[in-house]
Amino acid sequence: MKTGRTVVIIDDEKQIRRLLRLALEAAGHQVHEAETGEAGLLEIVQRRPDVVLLDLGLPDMEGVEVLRRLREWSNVPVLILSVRDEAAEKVEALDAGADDYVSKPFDTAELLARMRVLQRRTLAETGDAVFTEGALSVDFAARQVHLDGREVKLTPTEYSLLRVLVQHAGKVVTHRQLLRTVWGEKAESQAQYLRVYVTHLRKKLETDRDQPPLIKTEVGIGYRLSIDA
Amino acid sequence: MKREPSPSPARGLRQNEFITAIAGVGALTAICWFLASLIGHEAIALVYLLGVLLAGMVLERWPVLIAAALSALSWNFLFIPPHFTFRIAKLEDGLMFATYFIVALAVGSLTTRLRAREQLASQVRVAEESERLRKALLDCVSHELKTPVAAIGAASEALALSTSGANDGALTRQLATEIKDGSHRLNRVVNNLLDMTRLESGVVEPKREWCDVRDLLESAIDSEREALSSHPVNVRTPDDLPLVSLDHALVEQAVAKLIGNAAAYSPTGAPIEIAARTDADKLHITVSDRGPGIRPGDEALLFEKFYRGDAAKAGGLGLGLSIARGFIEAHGGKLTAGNLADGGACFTITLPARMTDARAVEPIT
Repeated sequence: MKTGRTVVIIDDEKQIRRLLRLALEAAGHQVHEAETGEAGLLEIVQRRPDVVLLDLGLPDMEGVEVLRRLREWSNVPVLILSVRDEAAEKVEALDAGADDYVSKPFDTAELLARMRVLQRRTLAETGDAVFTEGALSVDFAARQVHLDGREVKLTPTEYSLLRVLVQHAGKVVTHRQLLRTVWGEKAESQAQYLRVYVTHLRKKLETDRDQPPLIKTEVGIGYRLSIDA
Repeated sequence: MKREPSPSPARGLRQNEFITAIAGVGALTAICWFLASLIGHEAIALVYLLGVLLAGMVLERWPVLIAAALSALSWNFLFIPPHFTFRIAKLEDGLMFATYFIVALAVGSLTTRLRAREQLASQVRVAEESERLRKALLDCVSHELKTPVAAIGAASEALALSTSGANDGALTRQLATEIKDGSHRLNRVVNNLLDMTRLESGVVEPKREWCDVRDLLESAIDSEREALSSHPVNVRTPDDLPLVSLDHALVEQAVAKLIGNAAAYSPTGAPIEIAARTDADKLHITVSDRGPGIRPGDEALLFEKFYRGDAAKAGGLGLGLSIARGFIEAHGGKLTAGNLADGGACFTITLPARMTDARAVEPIT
């Protein structure tokens, strides 16, 4: 597996593009830039990138519009670059098919880690039936969860919530995505179920208070199963 | 939040005042009607005068003068013999009526003028206060913005020079760290100014959703981990803490500011305690430190914009607590400061909020 990836950056700020190029090239990636949504889509067609970094505030069209058009024909992983305090915008982009986001001003290390997560093959792709991360191991075939080798008893709802998070390990999953997958379309507005079951899951899985939390809260957006990337 | 009164409803207000004045005189007349047989028509004048005085304390000038004139006329018409005419039979009644008329008008006009002067004085005070704030803002902001900009500029220039000559890895790293620290500081200042601006323009509206308070505290702690590197943190929450309906982001940021404040004002190594509990309809969050505590009399002052305590470490705008209080008040809650019995400051957030017992939600499978 090669480490260097082809990256397309779509951002109208020249300085941000220049800095991203420096950081990404230093990490061994190949970088292509675009200043507008239109140019960005063209660049993606031509370069066939492994990952796209997309700014939400573009001059010619909304970042979300770029995403919608892109998702009509491509599944390339998309990482949103956006300023803080725009949770609603991020949620919209994530629900429109973006894979994850980083907030500006961002940490280069964090950006690279997020990109690595996007490059990991999903469990469905690898065909692995067992997910292991730190002390946690989830056996999908047996529907069993172990923590430090001890089996953890989960209710069916807790298990399916954990399963969704594990399937997207390292990536943010929005409240809506979780509610819809675990409880069905009708439960999309029933956020309290989600809070309650996340609390239950945490009680069972985050037994060591000194450890960083396994299920990370992304305020106003969703949850993320933290992994070492 | 202080807001300027908007000018548009002034006309409606004035109309209301006239109605109040007329209705007041009417009500007073009804009362006097019953009193008249007991106290005689001369004393009625004093009752009316009292009414005009009260009107002068709460109403504008013209409504008060209307009330004065109206009361004089009703007194004459209803109470001064002969009744139900504006004629006055006796000379002393005539004299009394004239005197009443003048005294009522004078009282009305004087009390309203006095009030106008008071209002003016308080407006001047507000103007002076805002002038002081503007100056503090300028001094403070320019210092807080220029310092990191200068650091970033100097370090990056040195970096550009050093890489062209002999490459010193340690120096490069040190300069890069300077730039990183400078940009973090700059980012903090910009965020604080943006928060303050959002608060002052009144656009902060809480978006309530069900929250796990423990989760909220953890993310607040996480966002201040740099400041907390030299302070152990203890979190105390009851096991049966319910879900609370609140704006996670707003409250988290307020708690984070309190934690940052506690870290800034307590000696290295001193622990910071964070606790949360609920009663029937309120959530209480306390953040306490082992610093020097709050000087008596400073409890209200420290929430002022740009106020910085004597024990503050260098750097910072003095906006943190002010923003924290703004966020909590925008959320309908209260943020208060006090001292612990055995030393150290203690900040308490009290938020009215709906709650649900986490165990009470039926599982749907």
